[in-house]
Amino acid sequence: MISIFACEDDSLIRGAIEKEIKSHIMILNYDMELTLCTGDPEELIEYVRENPKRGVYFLDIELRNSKYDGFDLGKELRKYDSRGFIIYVTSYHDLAFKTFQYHIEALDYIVKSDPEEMLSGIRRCIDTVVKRMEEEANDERKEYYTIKVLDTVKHILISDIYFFETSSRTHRIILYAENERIDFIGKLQEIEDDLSPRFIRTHRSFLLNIDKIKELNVKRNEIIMTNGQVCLMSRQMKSLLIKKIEERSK
Amino acid sequence: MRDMQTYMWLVMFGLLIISAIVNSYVWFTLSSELLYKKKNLDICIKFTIGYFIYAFLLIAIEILFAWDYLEYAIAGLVGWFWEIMGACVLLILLYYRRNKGDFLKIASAVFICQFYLKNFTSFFETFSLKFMIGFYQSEYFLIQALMALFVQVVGPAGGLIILIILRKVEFRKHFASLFDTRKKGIITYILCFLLMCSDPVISFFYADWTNSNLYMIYAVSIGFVIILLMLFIATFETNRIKLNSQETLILQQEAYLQSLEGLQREMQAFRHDYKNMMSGLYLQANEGDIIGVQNFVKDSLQYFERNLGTEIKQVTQLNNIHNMQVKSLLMVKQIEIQEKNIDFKLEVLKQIETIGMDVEDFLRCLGILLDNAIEAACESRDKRVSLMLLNEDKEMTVVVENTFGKKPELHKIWEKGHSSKGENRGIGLSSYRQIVEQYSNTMASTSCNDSTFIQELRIRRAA
Repeated sequence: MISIFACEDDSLIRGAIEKEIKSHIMILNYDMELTLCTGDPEELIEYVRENPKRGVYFLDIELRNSKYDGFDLGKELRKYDSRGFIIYVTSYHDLAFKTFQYHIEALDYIVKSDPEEMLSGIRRCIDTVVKRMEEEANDERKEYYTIKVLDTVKHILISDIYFFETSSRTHRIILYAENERIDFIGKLQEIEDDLSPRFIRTHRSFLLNIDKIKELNVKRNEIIMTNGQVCLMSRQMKSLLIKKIEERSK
Repeated sequence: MRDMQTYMWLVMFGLLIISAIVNSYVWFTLSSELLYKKKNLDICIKFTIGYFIYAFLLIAIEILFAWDYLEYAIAGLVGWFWEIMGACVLLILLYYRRNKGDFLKIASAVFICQFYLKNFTSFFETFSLKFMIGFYQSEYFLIQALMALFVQVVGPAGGLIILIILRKVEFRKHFASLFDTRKKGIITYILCFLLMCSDPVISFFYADWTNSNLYMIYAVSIGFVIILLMLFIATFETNRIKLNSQETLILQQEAYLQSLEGLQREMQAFRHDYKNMMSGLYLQANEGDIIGVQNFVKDSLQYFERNLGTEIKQVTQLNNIHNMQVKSLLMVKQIEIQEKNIDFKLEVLKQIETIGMDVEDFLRCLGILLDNAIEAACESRDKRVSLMLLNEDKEMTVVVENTFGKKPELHKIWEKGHSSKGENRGIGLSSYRQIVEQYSNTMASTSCNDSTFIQELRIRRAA
């Protein structure tokens, strides 16, 4: 059972949203329920904090009389439910939606100035959520590595990571992945503890994904990765690495 | 007598240490003043240690060669070579390791420092030889030690005067502009190298002359001539930059005027439509056609919603930025983007009052990111660039997204000089990286999916 939450401070519109969600779930017989429909964002946060679970959220962006606006509310909810679906309800077309998409990973937004458009938007979003979850269930389980970049948490597919490298600035690590290069604060030793033995510390400042090693240049103490990047290896690690690579090719 | 001997050695040893510390401190502060905004303690310590090792090595070599006064000439040559090259190589290596950027710039800064240190030291050397010769012949060891202190410690400390002058005129900014282009950089580099070599060459080939009054006048005057020359170049460059910035200011004002005119046109159209609609509504209401009025209101709501001009929307976003420099940069870029038929989206969700880094550096970063995005978007099919600025309590995030023609290889774009379009066009991103790496509170990340390329810059505020 998936919980649906709605936060909208205009009681008329809240009523319409509530009715539409309930009837749509019932008609299509989805395994969902409208758990909470409120005008008070703090009530919603309180509930989610106590019952952390993946949910679907319809949030008003322009919340009056509240210390939260839609953006802050979404950010707060993400702390407790990092994989939930957040949909925004707004009265404006010119919403800064890209920002919501990027920072809160909002699924979609619905404009409420036209009631008919709003209701069909709600139905569309619920359908999308159901479809997404079915797709995810079919997907094989993938392993992610989680890093924290200041306040934001990022999940990176472990099999996509090439290597970690220490930056010239203290405590900084740079991660190189298939489609990403991320600069974050961390300790190479801790990452090594988390990811060993799939990752190997070839040098004081390099932690490599063994599967992504293409070849070793023993003469120059270099390691060439499958994407062509060059990493370093220390002399002590040389023999161990050669052994590992031989093991892998067997 | 034996006690006296030990005592002497101890004092000499202490002097050596003080001299090495003063030397390395002046070296370090002076060269980093030319290169970086902030002093870096880490490098400072490393350099001092390195300098110690090097100083002892230097003494060892001089003793080795000059032992019997046999190879005095060779000793001079070797000593000279070591004196200059040793410290230079050491410092260049240290800076270069840390900031793999501009070799020419780092080397030139180090050469200038060497010149001034040597200049001051040899001036004091001659000065003391000339006017305190009596002390030199003195039997009292303490006075000899004082002399050494004077030459070896006060001499290099004179470099601090240069440091103060350079700092006063913010020479660092102008120094950087001498390395705009590779050609300029190489010329500056060679000049700095010659400058550094001038004094040792003179004292090696015209050793007698270095003991004359004329030499002292020369040493003082060359030092001042060089600093005046540098200041002249600095002000010259400042004026040039000022002129450029005035031109950009005019451009920005033009851009602003244009957007204002656009706004006015839209407002006019809006007023016109609004009047028409209202008179229609009035007629319908007069006839008592409630359903008609309802439909009408619904339609007009949508009409205003959809036709609210893009110009107004963009200006609303821009108005959230309270820094005039950032605002006008974005205005200029906006016009540039529109001229290239690229779809531009600007989102500034929250008010931006302050930026967690130097505004000039921030502008350069933003400019580089946008220029790169524009360049890549031009080659793509659906030409889109979007910029999101998000200001939160603890941090500010800049996100630039763009479409691309050919998917970039992520790890390569960070290498210097790499660009998908031939040589020397990727300079932008590497200087972006250099700026960002000067700060401890910034984090730059890059990511890419099938259709968009994303650059993210996070700036954390000081707690």
